[in-house]
Amino acid sequence: MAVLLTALVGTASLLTGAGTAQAQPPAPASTMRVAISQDIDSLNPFIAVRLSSTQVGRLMYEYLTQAGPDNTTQPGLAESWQAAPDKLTWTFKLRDAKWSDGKPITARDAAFTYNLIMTNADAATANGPAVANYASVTASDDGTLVIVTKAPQASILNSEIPIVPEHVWASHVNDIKGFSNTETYPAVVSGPFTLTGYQEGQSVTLAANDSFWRGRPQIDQLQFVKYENTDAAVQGLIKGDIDLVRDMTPAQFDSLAGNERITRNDGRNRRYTELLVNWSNPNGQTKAAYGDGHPALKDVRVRRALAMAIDVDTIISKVKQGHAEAAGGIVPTVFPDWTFTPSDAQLRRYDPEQAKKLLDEAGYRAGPDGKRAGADGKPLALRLVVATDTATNRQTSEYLVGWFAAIGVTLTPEFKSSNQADDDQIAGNFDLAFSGWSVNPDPDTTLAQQTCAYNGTDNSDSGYCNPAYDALYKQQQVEIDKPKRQELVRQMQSLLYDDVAAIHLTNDKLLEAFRNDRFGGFVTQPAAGGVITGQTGYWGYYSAVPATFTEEAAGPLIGMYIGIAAVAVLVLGVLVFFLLRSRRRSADDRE
Amino acid sequence: MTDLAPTANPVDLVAPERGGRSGWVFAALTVLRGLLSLVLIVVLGFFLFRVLPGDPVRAMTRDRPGDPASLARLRAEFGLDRPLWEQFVDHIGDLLHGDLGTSYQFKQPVTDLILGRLGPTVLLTGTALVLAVGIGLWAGSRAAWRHGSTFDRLMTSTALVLWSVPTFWLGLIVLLVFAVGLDLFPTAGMTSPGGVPGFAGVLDVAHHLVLPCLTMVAVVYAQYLMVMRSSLLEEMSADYLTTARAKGLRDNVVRRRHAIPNALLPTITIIFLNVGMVVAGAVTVETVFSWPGLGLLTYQALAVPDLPLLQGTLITLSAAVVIMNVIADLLYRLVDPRVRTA
Repeated sequence: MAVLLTALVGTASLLTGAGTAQAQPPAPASTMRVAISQDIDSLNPFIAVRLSSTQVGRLMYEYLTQAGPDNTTQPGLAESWQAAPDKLTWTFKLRDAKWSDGKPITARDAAFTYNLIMTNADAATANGPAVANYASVTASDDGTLVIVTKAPQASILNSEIPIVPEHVWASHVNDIKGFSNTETYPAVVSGPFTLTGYQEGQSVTLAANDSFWRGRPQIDQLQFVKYENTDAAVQGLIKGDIDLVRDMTPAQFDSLAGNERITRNDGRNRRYTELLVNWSNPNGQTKAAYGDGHPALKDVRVRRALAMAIDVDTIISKVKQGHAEAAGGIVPTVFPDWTFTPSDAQLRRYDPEQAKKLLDEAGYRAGPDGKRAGADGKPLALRLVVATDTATNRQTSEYLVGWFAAIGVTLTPEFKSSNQADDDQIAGNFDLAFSGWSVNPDPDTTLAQQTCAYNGTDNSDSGYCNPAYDALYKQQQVEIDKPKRQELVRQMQSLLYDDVAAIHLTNDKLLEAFRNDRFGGFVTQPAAGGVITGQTGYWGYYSAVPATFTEEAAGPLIGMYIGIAAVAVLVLGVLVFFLLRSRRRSADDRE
Repeated sequence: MTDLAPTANPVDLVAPERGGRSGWVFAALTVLRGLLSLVLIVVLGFFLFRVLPGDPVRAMTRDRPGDPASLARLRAEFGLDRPLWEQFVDHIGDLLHGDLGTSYQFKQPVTDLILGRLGPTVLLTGTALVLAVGIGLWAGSRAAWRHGSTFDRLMTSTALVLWSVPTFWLGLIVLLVFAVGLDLFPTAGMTSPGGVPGFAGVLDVAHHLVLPCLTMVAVVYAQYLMVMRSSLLEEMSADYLTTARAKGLRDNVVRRRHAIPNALLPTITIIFLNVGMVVAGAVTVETVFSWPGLGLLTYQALAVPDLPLLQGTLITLSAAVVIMNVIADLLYRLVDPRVRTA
């Protein structure tokens, strides 16, 4: 037993040795711990694509321009910017700011970063598409960056390219992929926090950057701690192991009500849930036929009828427990500049009777059993692909079956793993399917998804294809004048709405909670009722303010010693028990 | 992996025609058989994983609208646009160089990822296995010896109840009671965030180890208990026990020195099978307690599917099982002379 214990302790010490790359400085006074459920794929900003990693990246590397708490463009490293009359040449004036190692941040760093992405395929992994339209990026002096685009690009101020220090990264350009950015701590950064530690699969540690141009954050240290499941994270929050939990289920969120140390935040978010309607349009790239969708769905009257049979308010109150808003257009309401609200004339309300009329008009009449069939006698029976990993979609599908039955449409949910559901959607093998996307402050990529070219590709949606829409898309892409572009984007969403490109159900809120006895002052995005985490920006973490600490510093340590003591007593007890017993054996027992 | 199970009856491998064939030939044959299994696993694994539903590129870019060109580039980078047989030849070539490839999602060499997770997994499942075997054998032999007694009924039913309880649920209850309610242990991870240096770090890991280990032991010790109990029960009526008692030995000694050694054989089989599985970790326990182990890595690989990582973990896990089986086969002949002379 003693041997076993020694062995265990030995292994454990080896492991901790491996886990901490360097001796830790004494823990700073205010460390905020955030539970994350997604693994970090990379801390190299050229490589990282996952939400978990890009969230860390936003804290480390500042952009030229930044989406503010209100989702409008704000200055970042660039103080001011101007487009030339040709709409192709943009001049950015950089502010006086310093890297975390004290060296000045210059336009040459920015030019180095942009050119690296434009010329090195590995460096383009994360942000390649953002610079695809750039012809050249040059630093005309230390304070001036000139970007020339191939065609006018309206979204240029939202490109979100993390700018890295040339004096650190220049020596890594030949092996961008192999550089993990955890080789030396602290990392040299321009954002509010710098990287000081990383345990793969366990935690990321960041420290406040004293040189951040907006001023040092008020918390000293920020840690992202991996929790594999949110149930455990919620318990960690109650116990105090962590200070902030994100992306809870409504049930977990509700269970925290009444805990006075915990503040809950159901933040308006940039994510929407939709019901895809298979348009059965050909593949946008190969022009091959696309999937096996029900032909009835090609009729706009059928699509409208289905949309009117759905009571979105019930989905919000019963399934989402109130943590969602009805969606009008494809751009969520957190982006007031781009969101779309249907006019009273075009608005579709929950109206089963009107839905029935539309189906009658489309030629799908109810039989004696109330079930509708087309003129060819083919029943109006639809399949609904549901990925089982989102519980709310599973629940919504039960309501949909009932609502559709009420208008004579038979709906059969097909529950699948998210990978299988993805396969079906890309191949077009569905009639209806749940989907949902996160939208960026610039709507370009979201709008692009609805163009003909995207059908049947990995990012395809309903398979919508409307030449009028595509023409508008091209127009808005090059429209530098914001009000004009807003009008174009409004028209596009109006088309999507009238055509029922897909049935937009809800804009979902993000459920978060934090320990108010430790931290507060979070700036949300949008500022009114928005989210703390998952922002397009660093505002939530940057604005955090430590509460006056009431807890004694030794708190967690005492728990640890009690725990270990309990186990030690148990082990000792067992040992003593066996020792005593063996003493009791008499010599007669020996053979 | 059922083809790896015949350890229970290695007798048929011993050539009958020459009486006891040399132990070396037997050992060589056993090792060869193990190698053959591994080759089959590599080939099967490659094609099996490619039948899995899901598109790695789509799964990795889910929620993040991108343009078709950049997705095609990603696909070309992974080699997914090339014919299957070309991918296979590449894979085998890399394997012969000891290269397991680069993970799609972590953009790191698979070997590094697996090695990084191996330590935590062996620590957790190894500790749990030692404790579970210890408790299981002790309680199992006691229970069999006094079968039908209150002790037997209590032990057997407790073990079986814990064995049948869903691990996830039990883990959360343990977490709720010991970590949150009693505030004795941390809620997640293998170390405090950021890690702790020196000897305090060892204590820190030990502190984090208690709850996942406890959960795992509670769930698995029943199998050792039941196997030990039933094989000892079979020995109970044997004549040699009567002889031993007639010599005037105390009951405990009869059990320990005579009955248990003979009842151990089936138990050794199951222990070694499980030692192989130690590397596989325990996905559920690792998930509840956020323990950064191999089981979890495999699960994350499967979700994408991250093909190189999946292949890498499959090879590692099955190599461990195959090696342990080979050792069990060899050990059998040492433990029980009857196997050698059969």
